[in-house]
This record gives sequence, C-alpha cells and structure tokens, in this order.
Amino acid sequence: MADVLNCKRCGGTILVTGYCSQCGLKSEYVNKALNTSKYYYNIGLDKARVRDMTGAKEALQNALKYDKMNIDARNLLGLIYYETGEVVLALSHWVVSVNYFSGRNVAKRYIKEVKSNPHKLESANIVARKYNQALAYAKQGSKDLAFIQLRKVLAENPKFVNGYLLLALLFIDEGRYEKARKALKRVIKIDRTNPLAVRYFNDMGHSDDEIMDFRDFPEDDYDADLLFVEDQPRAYVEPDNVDLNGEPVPVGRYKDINFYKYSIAYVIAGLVLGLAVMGFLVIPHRDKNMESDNRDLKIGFSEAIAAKNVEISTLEASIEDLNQDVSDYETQISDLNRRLGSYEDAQKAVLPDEDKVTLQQALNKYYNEDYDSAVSDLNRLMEDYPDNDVILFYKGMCHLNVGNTTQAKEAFSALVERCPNSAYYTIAVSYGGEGLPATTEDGTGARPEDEEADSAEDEESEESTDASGVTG
Amino acid sequence: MINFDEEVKKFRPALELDQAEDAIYSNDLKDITDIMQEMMRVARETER
Repeated sequence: MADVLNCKRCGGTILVTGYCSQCGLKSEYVNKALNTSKYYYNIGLDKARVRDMTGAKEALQNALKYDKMNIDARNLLGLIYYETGEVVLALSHWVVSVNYFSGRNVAKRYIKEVKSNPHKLESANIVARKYNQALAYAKQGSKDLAFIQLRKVLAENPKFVNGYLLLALLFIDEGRYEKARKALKRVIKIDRTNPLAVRYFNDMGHSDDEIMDFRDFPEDDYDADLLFVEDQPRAYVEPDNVDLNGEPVPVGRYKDINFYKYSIAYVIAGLVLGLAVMGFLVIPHRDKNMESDNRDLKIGFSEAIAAKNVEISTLEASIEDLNQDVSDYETQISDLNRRLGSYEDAQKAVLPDEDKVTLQQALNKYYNEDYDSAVSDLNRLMEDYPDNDVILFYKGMCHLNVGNTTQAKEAFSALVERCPNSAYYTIAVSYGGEGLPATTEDGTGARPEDEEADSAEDEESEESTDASGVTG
Repeated sequence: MINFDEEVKKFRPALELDQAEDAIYSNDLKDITDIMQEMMRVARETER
C-alpha cells in the first residue's frame, strides 16, 4: 500500500495530480511556501540573536507572509516588539499565535506573564499614551512639553526605541548633539541596525566605523534621567587630544562626584518646571475662569441694574401721575372751599320770613328817605344777623345819606371784612376807604353824588333783594 | 541635514491597550497560500 501524503496546509489528501483534495492547492507550491517561510524565520532568528531587531522584524514579517501559521516566527516577532517597547503589538501577535495553535505554545506563557502583572500592563499602556502625547506635542512644536513626556516614557520603559529616536530628533533640532548621540547609542544598543538611528548618526557626521564602535562597545548607563540633565565638564582628556610628544598637561585633581548636587539640581528643575506649569497652564486657566465669572457677574448686575432702572422710571412716572392727581385734587378742594364759602355766605344772606319782612320795611323806609327809622330796623336785624351784607350795606347807606360818615365807614368796613364775596363788596370798599368825604359842619355828610355809584347801588340792590329773598 | 518637521511626520503613534483588539482584527492574516487559493477560486468562477 502506497504512502498517503497529506497537505501540509490543510491536512487534506494529496491526489495523484499533486493537488490537495481539500484546499485545491498544488502540494509543491504549498511546500515551497512553507520552506520559504522557514527560511525567513531562520534569518530572523539569526538577526534577533545579534540584536538586529529591525532586520529580524523584516525577516519574520516575510516569514509570516509565506506562512501565517508559522508559530515560531509569530512568537519571535511578538518578542521583538516586546523588546523594543511596543507591548500592544507584541500581545496582538501572541494572541493570534495562540489562536492558531493552542497546544504547547510559548505565546501562552508570554501572555500570562504580561497579564499576571497588572501594574506592568498598565505601565505599558501609560508609556504608549505618553509617547503619543509627546509625539503630538512635537508635531505641534511644543518641544518642552514633548521633553517632559518623553522623560516619563523613558523612565517607565528604558527600552522604548521609538521614544529614544524621537528624543534624539528633538535634541538634534535644538543643536544638543551630545545628548542626541547618547540617545541614539541607546537605540543601537537595543536595535543594532536601527536605520533611523544610523541615519541620524550619519547626519551628525559619524562614520560607519564610529557607529560600529558605538554598537560593539556600548556604554552601560541606561538611566534615562541622565539624558535630561546638563552635561558636566569632563574630568579626563579625550585620547585624540593628548600630545604625546609635548609637555605634560596638568589635569584637574580628583574629586568625588557630588550626587547631592544632582539631587539639588533635580529639586530646582522640578520647582522651575512646577512654576512654569503653574505660570503657563494653571494660572492662565484660573484667570480665564475668574474673568469668565466676572463677566457673568457684570452681565448679571447690568441686567439687574437695567431692570431696576426700568422700575425706577416706571415709579417716577407713577409719582408724576400721582402728583398731577394731587394737584388736581387740591384744585378741586380749593374750588369746593370757594363754593362752600359762597354757599355759607348765601346761607347767611337767607333770612327767615319775619326778618325778610322787617328788612323789606327797612328798605322801603330807606327809599322813602326815612333813614333814622330804617337804621333802627336795620340795627335790630343786625343783632341777629351781624354778617348779612344787605343789612350792613343799607345801614352804611342810611348813615351816609344822613351825613354820618364815620358810622357809614364802620358799616362798610364791617361789610368788607365779614362778607368778601358779597355783591356790595366793591362799593363797600370804595365807600369804606378814603372814598367818603369828611363829615360836614352841620353834621350832614356829603351825599353820594357819583352817578355810577347810584346806578351800581340800584343794580346791586335789586340783586341783593333777590339774593336775600326780599321781594319789592 | 535633518529636517525636524519632515522627520517627525514619519513617527507613528504607539498602540494603546484599548486598541489591541482592533490591531488583532486589522492584522493582515493572509499568507501566500490564501492568495493562491483565492486566485484559483476566481479563475474557476470565470471559467463557469
């Protein structure tokens, strides 16, 4: 019985035509692809052993292109990513590896080790995040902030190649070539043929031999913080500068390195950075908040003031209206008072029927020129009605006609004083003042000769008799 | 001479943990045999 060959890709039976019965691929091609994958894996492995990470990465990626299920190549690629600080990429390859082959797979152990230490996983995540932040700062031109972030990145993961490369680029841009050189030396210590590091070295004027020296005789200091402190003056002479034939050059005396000084420098740098962060980030933000609050307060107060002003103007308008009402009411009150006075005067002028008769008789006597009798009637009426203007007027007229000027003046003065609203007021004023002539020697005073006075007297008498209710 | 702006553009952001799932799914998981199989399938469909 002939041996049955199986497809190395899918496990199906190989037909006599050389094609797989299951996947349909020619067995020869499949074998060729798998062999090529292994070939590249071997190259990758060799390069990884001499820490040529970039070369190994390329070879292993090629190996996976020929056979995606080359577990060794995938695991090694993950390991290389892990070594160069890209933990997430490493994990992704290991997860795929375990997914393809869940038997005895070293990727399981790698994943377990990374996941078993949550601090390490979180630290890897922080490194990636801070590196991304530093990259963003660098692209924006905020190089100081990029330096700060990179310092944290490299302190957390001293093998993060991309971090060193970005740091070297920032140093080169600032002209700090010694620092850039140190950063690049660390890169080629991790990845001996990193093309970017080699190119930066070449651009800084280093020959390939010098780069090989850096690579083959690496310095052992991995303290990332040393990259961020200023260079100290060297206590030794560069070998190239030694003049073997000349006079001996005096060198400085030996002195212990003062680490305390570095601590102070760190403290001062921290204080300066803290103050800078306060000055550039915190205080402006706080000021901005305060300005915003002040603006809001001003707007609030302005709105309140505007509302109050509107209220004040409304109240002032209502006060004006009320003042106008008050003045109107005062006018009405004075008008009513005047009317009340007129009414009271009219009340005073109204006499009962008996007294009306007596007054009528007195007036008849006056018109019949029986002045003394008229005065006696009028005096009797005066006892009951001292403020009656008709009585006072005719009493004055009687005295005037008999020439008793003094008593006439008294009567007219009483009328002026007591009855200011009387119809006789004007005549009484004229007779009660200086208008009357002095009493004559024979006791007869000057009779009223003014025709106007007579006519006024007639008119007034008619009105007064009407007002007093005395009929003629 | 190194041009900072040009060089910094070549740097790519590092993957964070919450992007790991996307990285796995977006991984190009096709090898040369997959491509050959796909080519044969297309050729067969064209013949039909």
